[in-house]
Amino acid sequence: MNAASANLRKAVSPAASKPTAVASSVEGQRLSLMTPEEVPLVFELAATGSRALAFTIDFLIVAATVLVIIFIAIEALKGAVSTGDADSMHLIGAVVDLTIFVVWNFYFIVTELRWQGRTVGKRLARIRVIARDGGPLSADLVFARNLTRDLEMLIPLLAIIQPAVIGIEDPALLTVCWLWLGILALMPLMNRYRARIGDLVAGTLVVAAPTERLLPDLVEKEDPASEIGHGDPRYPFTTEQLDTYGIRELQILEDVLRRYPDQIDPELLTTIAEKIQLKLAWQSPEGHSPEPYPFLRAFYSAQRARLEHKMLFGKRQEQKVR
Amino acid sequence: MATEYRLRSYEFRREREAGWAELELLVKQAEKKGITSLDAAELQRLPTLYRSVLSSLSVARAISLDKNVIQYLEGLSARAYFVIYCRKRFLGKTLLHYFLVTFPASVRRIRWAVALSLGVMILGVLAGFVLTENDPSRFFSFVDEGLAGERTPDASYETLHASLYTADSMGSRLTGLATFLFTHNARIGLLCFAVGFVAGVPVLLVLFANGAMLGAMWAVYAAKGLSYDFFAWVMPHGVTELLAVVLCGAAGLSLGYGLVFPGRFRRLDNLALRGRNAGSLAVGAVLLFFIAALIEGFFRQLVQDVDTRTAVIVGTALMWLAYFMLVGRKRGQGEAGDVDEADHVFQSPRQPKAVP
Repeated sequence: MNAASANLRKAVSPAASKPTAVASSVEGQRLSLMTPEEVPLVFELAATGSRALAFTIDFLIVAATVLVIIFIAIEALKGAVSTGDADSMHLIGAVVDLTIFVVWNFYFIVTELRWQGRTVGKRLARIRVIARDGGPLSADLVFARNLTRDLEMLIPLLAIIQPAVIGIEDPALLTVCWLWLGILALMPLMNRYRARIGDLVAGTLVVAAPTERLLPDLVEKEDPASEIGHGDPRYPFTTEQLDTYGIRELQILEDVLRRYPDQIDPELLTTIAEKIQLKLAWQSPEGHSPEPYPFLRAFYSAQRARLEHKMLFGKRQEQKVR
Repeated sequence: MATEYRLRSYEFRREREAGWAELELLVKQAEKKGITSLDAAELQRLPTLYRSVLSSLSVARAISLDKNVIQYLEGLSARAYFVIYCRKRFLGKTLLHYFLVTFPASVRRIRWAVALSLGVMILGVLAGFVLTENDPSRFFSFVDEGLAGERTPDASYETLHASLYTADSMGSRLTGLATFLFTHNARIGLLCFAVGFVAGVPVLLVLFANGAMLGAMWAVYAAKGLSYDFFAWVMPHGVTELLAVVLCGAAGLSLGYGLVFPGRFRRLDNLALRGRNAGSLAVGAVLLFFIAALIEGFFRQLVQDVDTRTAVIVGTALMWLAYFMLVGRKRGQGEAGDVDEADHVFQSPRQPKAVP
């Protein structure tokens, strides 16, 4: 294929399977998105629980706003209301109607537009909306994803609370209707992007946006004077011993060590240390069994050094060998 | 006996750490107070730091097995990416751009769907009219009894005439009426867009039923020789309101079409492409509903003169025609990337623009 036809293909296939700069692909719950700098960024799709939490918070905000505005309206029109004439009642009805409509429909649109997909609830639940192709969240996209909320949430909910609204008596038709409403409401469970209808219509995704902190490196010695990366002389390991475990075990050990000292049971550390010693047939040069935490730190350093060394030579050992 | 390996990942981290922390601070500030809160020097540092963190991420993936470092860099890169490429929107500017460019352009883009939904509605009007004229008892198949009130086929000329020319009580009741009409119609309009997701069939039904209702009403008035008066009563707001219904219907249809016929794209991509256009159209239609409700709530109740009513009909019709045919044709090109990519959606892939 020559360059001209390749360019033509690019020109006619917006947002198609192979865009030029930004692509997204989904593997399980993870989504990778290519930046213009050609570095893939990996996102985790937001958990259903986080999304529910975010929505609940946002919903409470909407409800509170509506209540406050209605309360203010009633206060402001108190004089008129006390006379009890129909006109002022109409006015209050109008305010209530309009408030509910505007706040319910535009709260999500305005906040998502203003903060690029992070409504107050989504921030608290540490999730955010992104465009599936990695572009900015423009107005049309935010509109599209939020205008379907009534269809997929309010109507099925209404149908559950008050089945008479459906207005169909034939049981067969009613079943079809329920099925249809169910499909609409449960859409997030039925596609690989875990997207609700609004997300599908707008081409957006909700992803986890954790704010991970950079923790101290575990290979660092507690005593900064000693040399780094040369293992702890008290706990020597042989190459054979270090070839036993793989990356998965190393990172599980990392998780365990990062929980030290507050969030971990000391017994567990002892058990892990003993298991490792048994597996590696490791003998303490001192003759008695070592302190679990320093031993595990030393083992972690040595193991990571060995695995990273192998990785540099092109061999990623993902798991333990036996 | 002890084999020792140098930990390159540790040295790598120690060398780059300061840059990461610096970017993290900038990103945190930009996320909280907006990118405009950064001063010139910081703004200049931002892209440099971002690129260096991205490169750190690549390196870390290749040489480091420290999960915390990789996760931290992934999170930081993603946050920086969004700060740089997906800037905060300024609502005023976005809205202005929306009404001057995006909205009319998105209507023009799906003009065939607009024509189709207009056609279906007119078909509904004609069907309602003809069927009711032939057999007035069919009137209630099209019009809800509560909605019709006194305006039934059995009503006398006087009742019907009065329904067109009686002013409601003044003041706040009109506000109530206007608000009710607005919220009610806008909800139906938005639903009309949303059900487009279900292949567009319900949209056609809604359009046809609405048209048939109008047609049936018309037949009742026509039987008493009040055709002209009826349209002078219904159309001042009807032009705007029916247009809004037609637009919502068109949005729904285009959505349904996109889902059923994905064309040269993957189904989901095509749906997203059309959904964005249709969504922005539906929001514009809400504004039309609002204007229609104002006309219906106030103007129609306050102005009884047929000629003035006719003038408003012609005026609004010409205004909308001009708006949707002319506005935003040129401006779509130059600044579109700045505020809104909508105009490029159908022509080129959405690519994040570099930071100016």
